[in-house]
Amino acid sequence: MTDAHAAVSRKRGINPIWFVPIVALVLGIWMVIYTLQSEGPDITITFSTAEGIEQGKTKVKLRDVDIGLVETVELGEDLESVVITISLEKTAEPLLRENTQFWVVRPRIGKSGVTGLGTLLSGGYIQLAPGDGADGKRAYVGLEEPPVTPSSTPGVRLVLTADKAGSVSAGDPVLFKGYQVGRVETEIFDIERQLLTYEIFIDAPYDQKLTSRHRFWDVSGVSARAGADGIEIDSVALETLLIGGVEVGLPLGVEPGQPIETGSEFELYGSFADVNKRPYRYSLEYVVRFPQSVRGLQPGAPVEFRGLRIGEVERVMLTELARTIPGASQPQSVPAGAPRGEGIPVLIRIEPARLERPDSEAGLEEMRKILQFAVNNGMRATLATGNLLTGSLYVSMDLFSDVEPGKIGEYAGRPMLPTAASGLDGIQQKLTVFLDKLNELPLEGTVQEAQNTLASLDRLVAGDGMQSLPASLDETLKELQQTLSSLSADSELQTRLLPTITELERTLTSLRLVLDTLDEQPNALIFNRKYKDDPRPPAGSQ
Amino acid sequence: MRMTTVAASTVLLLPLLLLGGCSSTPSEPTLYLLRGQPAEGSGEVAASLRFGLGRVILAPYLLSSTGLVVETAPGEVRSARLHRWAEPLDAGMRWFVRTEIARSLGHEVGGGLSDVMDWDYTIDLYVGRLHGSMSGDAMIEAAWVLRVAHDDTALREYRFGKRVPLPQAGYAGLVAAEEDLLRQLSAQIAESLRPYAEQAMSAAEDPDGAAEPAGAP
Repeated sequence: MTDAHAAVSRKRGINPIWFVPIVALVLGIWMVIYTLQSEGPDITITFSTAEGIEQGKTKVKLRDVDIGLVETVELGEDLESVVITISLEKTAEPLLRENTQFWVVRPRIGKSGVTGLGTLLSGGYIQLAPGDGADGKRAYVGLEEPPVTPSSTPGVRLVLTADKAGSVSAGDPVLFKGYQVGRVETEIFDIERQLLTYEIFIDAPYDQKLTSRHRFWDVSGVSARAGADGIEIDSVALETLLIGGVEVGLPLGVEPGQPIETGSEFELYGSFADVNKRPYRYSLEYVVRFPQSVRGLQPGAPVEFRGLRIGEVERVMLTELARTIPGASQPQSVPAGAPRGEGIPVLIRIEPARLERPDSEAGLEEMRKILQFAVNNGMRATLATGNLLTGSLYVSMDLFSDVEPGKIGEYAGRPMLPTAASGLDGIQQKLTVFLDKLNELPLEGTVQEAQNTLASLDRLVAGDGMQSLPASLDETLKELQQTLSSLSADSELQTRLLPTITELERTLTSLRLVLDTLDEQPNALIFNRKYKDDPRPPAGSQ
Repeated sequence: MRMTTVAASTVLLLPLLLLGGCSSTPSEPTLYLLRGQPAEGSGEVAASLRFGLGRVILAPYLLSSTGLVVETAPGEVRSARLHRWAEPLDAGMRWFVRTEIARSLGHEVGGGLSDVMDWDYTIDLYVGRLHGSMSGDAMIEAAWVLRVAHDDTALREYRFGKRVPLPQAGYAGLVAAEEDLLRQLSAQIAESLRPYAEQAMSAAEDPDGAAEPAGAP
């Protein structure tokens, strides 16, 4: 019996069974890499509330295209907000920039209409608005309201300020010649400045047409004016009438200025009439003190230089005046340098742009120098009568030649221009001075002396000598007449006198010849003068 | 002793000097009368119109002496010592011119005797130049103004300038030449008055249409 032995040999190589896990590993790695490459970024957005947002359901859209999904919804650390984690698609990564905006689209009813009705059925979603700026941002603060203007819209953003709330609010149109060129985006009350601040957006290319001299005014409503031509009613489009709006334009008679820049601040006027009352932005405030009554001087009254309007009256400074009155509650708060009882202080506003100066800080500085120079050379403010019937007054500035060089003073922390009396008030003052001097005259004594003098004169006239005076005077006049008649042209005296005078003239002529001779030859009285022979004129040629 | 001799000599010499001075014979000047031809006959100033010679004003150099003036060089004159006018030149000229105007015009001209208030028109005469020259000429420059007598209003002004040769050498020739110049001047003055005279004559012939004499033709 032969034992059969199996020959065992080790087979070299890798068992094919290992291909299975290798392939699985490769596939796994590939899937990981693929997943990592195809997954978009995760971002967080903070909202004040998660209304309408559901984890794993609410989508993120751009132009109605899904680009992400809400992964988690969590309360913020301060418990006052909600932090939403969103997984965006890879293609949405370039959209994540500094100014990219997110807000929740849900049904809303606003001034401009009803929006988001489609979300009633489909549910809310988060809208992404691409922005500009640096990329790589991953944490955002969502908008509670949809932005009126997307951040990428071309145009300029401006700031309007108003001292009181009108009917303008966010979303209202901005009109230029009645056509909408922009909109009001936000409405904020600035506590520090005590002003209402509106942020508006002007669409391109209309922003190129607006300049620094354009003005904005509220056109929400109807304005009516009654005049000699009847009643005139101004209104705007029905939409603007109902929901409000802002009109932009140039004041009457004002030329366009410099192009506007983003962020420029303008005042929001109450009406176009207010714009024309004060069409310029920059103005200088001065105090003028008038020693006479300011009855008839109203805020808004013109300030003129030789008939040219350069500003307006702001107000009569009653508050500051009250502090200067003795016995006031706070006499210690009298403004430094404020004289007592020297006139009613009036605050006026002078606008450099009315004198063709720049409507800017540079224009203010230039105007200050002009006023300083003018005051030094005799410029004074006077109170003039604008309307004799109504008694309205205005402030007139002019150069006076008979005044000392003045200087700009200070009152209540404001520069003060010197004043002068003029017009009826000037006459009244001069009349008062004259009457005072007249009153000081000793009239009673003078009248008594005059009476005594008249009595003496009466006695003198009644005297015998005076009674005989007419007869003596008559005789004297007769004698005078006779004397004058003897001097008449045909009188004997004249007849004799004229030839005598003629003879006298000739004698004087002869005497002059003698004197000339003696002057030439002093001994001519004794010795005969030797004359040269007279020149002998020749005969003329015929 | 010596002083007494000198004083006595002086007392004797002084009268001798005075007598010697007086004994010299002064030159006798020749005097000329400006009258022209003597007027013959008589006349009456026209009743309807009368002219009168008013002011006769001569340049001062003609009145500074009575000698005849000769221009010895341009701008240089000399008044003759031995050839003089017999009377002040303005008086002689007034008589001469008035006579010559009347002769030319055919009317008497007032100017010396009658009352100036009776004249209708007055002639004021200004003579700025009247003298001879060493080139044998005599020259005159004059102007006259015709005025309304009652208010002295000037109506017209005329000018006259002339130069004539001396008919003979010497001052007699100069006097003759100046008389000739004044005669021509008077004729010109008479010509300027003639329209007024004719108007007055026509008015006198037609009393109904008589016009105010002051109305210049």
